[in-house]
Amino acid sequence: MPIFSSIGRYSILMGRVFSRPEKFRVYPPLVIREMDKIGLQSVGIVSLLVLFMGAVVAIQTASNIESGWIPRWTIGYTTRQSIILEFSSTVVCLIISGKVGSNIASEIGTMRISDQIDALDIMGINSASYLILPKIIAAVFIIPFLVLLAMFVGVAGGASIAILSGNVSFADFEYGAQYDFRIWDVAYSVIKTFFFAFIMTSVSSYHGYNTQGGALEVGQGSTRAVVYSIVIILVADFLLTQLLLL
Amino acid sequence: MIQLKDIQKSFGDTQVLKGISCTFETGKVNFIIGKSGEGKSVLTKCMVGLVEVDQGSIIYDDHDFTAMDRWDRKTVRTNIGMLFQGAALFDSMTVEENIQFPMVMFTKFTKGERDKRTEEILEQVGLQGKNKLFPSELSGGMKKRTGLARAIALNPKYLFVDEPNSGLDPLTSIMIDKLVRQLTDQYNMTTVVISHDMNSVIEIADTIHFISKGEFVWNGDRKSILKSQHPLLNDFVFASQFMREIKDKFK
Repeated sequence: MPIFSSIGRYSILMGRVFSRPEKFRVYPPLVIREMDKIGLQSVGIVSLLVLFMGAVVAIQTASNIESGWIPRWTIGYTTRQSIILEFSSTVVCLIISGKVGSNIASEIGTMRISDQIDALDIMGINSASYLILPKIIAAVFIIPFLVLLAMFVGVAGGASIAILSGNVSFADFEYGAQYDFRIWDVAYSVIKTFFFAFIMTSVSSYHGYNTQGGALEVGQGSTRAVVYSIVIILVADFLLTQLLLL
Repeated sequence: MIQLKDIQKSFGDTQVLKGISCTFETGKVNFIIGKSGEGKSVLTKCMVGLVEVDQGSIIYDDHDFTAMDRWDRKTVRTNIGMLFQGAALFDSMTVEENIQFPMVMFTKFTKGERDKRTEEILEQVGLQGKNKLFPSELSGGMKKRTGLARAIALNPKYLFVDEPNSGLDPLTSIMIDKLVRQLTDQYNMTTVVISHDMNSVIEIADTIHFISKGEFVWNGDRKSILKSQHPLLNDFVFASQFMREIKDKFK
C-alpha cells in the first residue's frame, strides 16, 4: 500500500530530522532566517485575509439576525468566537500552507535535483536535519504569533465593518466581543497551531526532500505538498477539536 | 588509496554492479570511463556512501567504509571532496560562503582563519575577487572552479569528480582538467574522475578503468588505451572520426 510506504518514509525522515545535529551553533541563524521567511513575510497576507474574514463573518451574522429576541451584541460575540476558534488558527494555517508549503517543497526539491542535498550528505552533514529542522522550529515558534495577530485583526475587521455599516453600535459589539470570554478558547487555538505548523513544514519538506527528476517533478512535488498539508491539517483539526473541546 | 572489493549492487531485478574490484592509487588521477547507463554513477554513489552496496567492501586507506555506521563514516567523509556535474553549489550562498561551509561545519577555524584559507583556495582555482558573487552570477567554468574550491577546502585525501567537462567549451575544459591534475599533485589526493570525455582522459589520466555492463572490462593508462585491442573499449574510445585519426597517427 503506497500510503503505508509514505508514512514509513515520512517517519524515517523525521527520525533523521530530529537526530543529533552536527553543530548546534549553526542552527540559530538558520532558524531566524526561516522565521523571517515563514512568519514575518506572511504578516501582510494573513492580516489582509483575516481582516476581510472578520468583516464577512460580522456582515453574515448581522444579516441572519432578524429576530428581535436576539440581541445585536451577538454580532460581536459570534465574530469573536468564529475568528478565535477556527478562522485565526485553521484557516490562517491553510493559507500559510499554500504560501509556505509550496515554497519549502520547491526550495528543497530544487536542492535535491541539483545535487545540493547529495553534496551535504557527502560532506558528512545530516542534510535532513540541516535543511528541515530549522523550518520546523521556526514555524512552530512563529506561526502561533501570527495566529494571535490574526485574532486581533479579524475581530477588529469585524468590528469596523459592523459599526461602519450601521448594523451594530460600538458599545454593543464591544459587549458581545467580551461576553463569556474564556482564555481557554485562545489557548485551544494556539495549541492547534503548534500541530498545524509542524504538519505544514514537515509534510512539505518530505515532498521536497523526496523529489526525483527535474523541474516538472519539483512543481508536482510542490502541489502535492500543499494538497497533503491541507488535508492532514483538516483531519488534525477534527481530531484536536474532539480532544480539546469535548 | 581507495580499494574496491567485489562491489555488487542491484535495483530490483537489475544488477547494476557485478563484482567490481580495483585500487585507486594515492596521488594519481584515476578515470572511470564508459557509456551512459553502464554503472559509473551508481559506482560513484556507492563509493561516497550515497547508495549502499549489496555486497563487497570499499576501503579508504585502512578503513572499511562499508562496515562503518553513520558517525564513523563522518570522519572519512570529511576527507572526501566531490565536484558534481552541475557543481551543486548552494544557491543561497556566495562563492565565499560556499567554500567556507565545510570549514564552518567541521573545523574550529576563526573568521580570520577561514577568510585566509578561502583566499588561498580562490587563488589556486583562479577566482580571486569573486568572493561575493552568487552561483547564479557565475559562468559554467567558474561554477566548476568554485565547486572544486569547496571540495578541497578541508584538504581532503580523496577527490571525486563527476563529468568535469560537461557543458564547458574546449578551452575551459582543458583548464578544469589541468586544475584537477594540479590539485591532485599539490594535495597528494586520490582522485577519481568519472568522464565520457576522451580529451580529458588523454590529457590527465594516470590510470583508466573502463566499465561495461557493471564490470570493469579493461584497466590501463592513457598510452595503452590507444593501443588496446579490446573491442568494447575501441568502440567507445574511437567512436569519433577525430579519435580514429589520432589512433592511426599513433600507430
